[in-house]
Amino acid sequence: MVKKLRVTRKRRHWQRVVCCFALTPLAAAPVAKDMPDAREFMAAVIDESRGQTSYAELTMVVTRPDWTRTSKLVAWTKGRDKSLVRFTAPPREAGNAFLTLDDRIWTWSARIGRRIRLPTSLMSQSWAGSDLSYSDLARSDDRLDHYRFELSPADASGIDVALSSDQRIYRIDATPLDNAPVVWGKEALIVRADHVLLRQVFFDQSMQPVKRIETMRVDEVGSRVFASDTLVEDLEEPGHTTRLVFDVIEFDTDISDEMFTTFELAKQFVR
Amino acid sequence: MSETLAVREAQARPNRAFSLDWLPVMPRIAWRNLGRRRYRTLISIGSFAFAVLLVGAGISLQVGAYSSMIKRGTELMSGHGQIQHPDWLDDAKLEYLIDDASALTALARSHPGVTGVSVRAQASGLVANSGAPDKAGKAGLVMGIEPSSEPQVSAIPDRLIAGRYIESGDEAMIGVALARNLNLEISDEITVIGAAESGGIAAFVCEVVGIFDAGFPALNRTLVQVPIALVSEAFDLQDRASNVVMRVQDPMTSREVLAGLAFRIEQAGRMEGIAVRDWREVNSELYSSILLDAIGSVFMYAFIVLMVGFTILGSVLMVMFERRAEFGVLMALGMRVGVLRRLISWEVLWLWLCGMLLGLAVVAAVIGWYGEVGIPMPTDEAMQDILDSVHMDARMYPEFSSLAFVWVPCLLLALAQLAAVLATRKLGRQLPAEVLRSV
Repeated sequence: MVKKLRVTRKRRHWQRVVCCFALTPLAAAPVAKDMPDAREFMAAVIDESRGQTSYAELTMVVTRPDWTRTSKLVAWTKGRDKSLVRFTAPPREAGNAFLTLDDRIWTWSARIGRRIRLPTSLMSQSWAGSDLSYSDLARSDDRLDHYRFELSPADASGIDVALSSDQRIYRIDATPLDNAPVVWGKEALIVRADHVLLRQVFFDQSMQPVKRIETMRVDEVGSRVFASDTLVEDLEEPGHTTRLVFDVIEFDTDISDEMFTTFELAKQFVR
Repeated sequence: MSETLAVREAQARPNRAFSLDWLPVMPRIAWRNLGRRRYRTLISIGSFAFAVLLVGAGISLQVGAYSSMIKRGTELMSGHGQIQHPDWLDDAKLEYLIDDASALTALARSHPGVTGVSVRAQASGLVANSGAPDKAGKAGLVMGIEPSSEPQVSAIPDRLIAGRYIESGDEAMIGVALARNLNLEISDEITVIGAAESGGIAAFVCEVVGIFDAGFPALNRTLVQVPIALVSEAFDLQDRASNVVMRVQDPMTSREVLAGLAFRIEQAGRMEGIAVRDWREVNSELYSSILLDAIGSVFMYAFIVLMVGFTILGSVLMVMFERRAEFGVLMALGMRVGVLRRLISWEVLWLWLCGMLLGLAVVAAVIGWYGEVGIPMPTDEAMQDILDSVHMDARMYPEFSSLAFVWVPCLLLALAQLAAVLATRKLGRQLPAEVLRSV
């Protein structure tokens, strides 16, 4: 009697297991069908923010517990690997510039009229005293080579309704590959279906969130939608934030390759 | 007749160079008693001598090593004490600077016991060879110093291997590894770029006038020293500085000297946002390693001293056992127990004295010699790395220490006397007849 009962229980257990396996493809099928490829989706996010070429005028506000500094910048980008950023204000900073070519970065100090090429080891350091790092400026498609991506549907809670724009929201978990030259333990991105980045959180090696980039406003320029107001927060240092607001942006304009040379970097800025 | 007797007495008295006749009778009898069993006496003296030799030499070696570690650990960067922002120690950022640096420096300079003072302003920066702008720069520790006073607190000016020390203006001294990595030579120009305290980019150019070998790879690879005015101007520091570095006469007394300075700063109403720290706090790793080593050694030395204490106790107990008949007779003749105890106490005192003289003489000779010439350490690369990591020289110079020459002998004397008391405690409880019967 007892033996029969055990056999029955075992049979039920296996029936449940088999049922679970059998039903799993059915349950997963609709999600897998709608889900884009994670890597391709990530590449689209990068391209969406830069276009083939772009010209932008920005205001950067760096806030610290004791002070706030507002700077004006102009930036040119071409493809995924060329960018030139130049400060235009305040006067003390005007003319200072940063040139990115592939994974190389040069910085130009207008005050002393000298340029320096940054070593790779300093890429994670603060850029121009802000909460952005040099690697945030460098080749953004590096991320495609150095990370493994997982895409999943995201909960839109905590995201401004105006920002989510009733679109489907995805979460991308970007985990560095084993030998990738990356300081982060993980990056988690919340992205709209139209590839607009809404939030990006950087985790350290012990998986503690250390930096957050939050989109505050999304604008439309022509057929392109992009984050025009971004807040970068240092989660380890309360009160340390950097806000980047795009005052002017033009996509796919005609920008010559000559713009992205050390000669152009060293060109005297004329206000 | 009497003259003849005096001559005979004089002839009968052995002509000894070493005479204890000037001493009271008790120590003289105790000394004579030791001579009755010379072999055992020598072993007991040897125990004392060996203990003080072992502990004394060990302590002298350690004190010498600690002195060397403190000297090497404080002579380049930390000094014997610093005035700094309370948060600077944990996070050396431009955010944590001290205000009114010149007033604080003046206060430190006028404080008794402080022998050297210099103010510094340091920041992280990117250093590059101006002549090779396409060669990637290197991360550097940019340190603004007062060229006139820095030699009072740092040995880096003595470690120049090329060029000269900075004087003023746009001059820099850099580490040998940094010079090699950036292909820099004397008279070359370097570009330094960093983040200013109020955000923005701080930058300056200067000429390399000196290259030093600090003896520490991390400093050789990153350190750039320039006049403080250059750093203050580029990083927009005004009268703020990273730290005021001080040296005192004796690093072991730095805590007391700096407590006095802190009191004066407080009285001057400038203590807000200030911490006065001695080398033990600034260089806590060095202090911790010394403390850990010393704590471990205390147990070892305590064990040795205790071992010697038991040896002495055993020796005195043996004496008591062997001389039961003698003590029984003496007690039967009316000698008081207290006198017998004093006698044993004097015998132990003689043993201790002889042991100390012998042991300390050997220790003094060894330390005196090696204190001058030093004890060479193995010179292979792995050992050198270990020595560098604990700030030790390639030669160890033992030092005379009051601990070894005063306190350890005193401890041994106390233990020996305790052994004498323990060994003679039964004497008063037995009648002379019982003592004699038991023989």
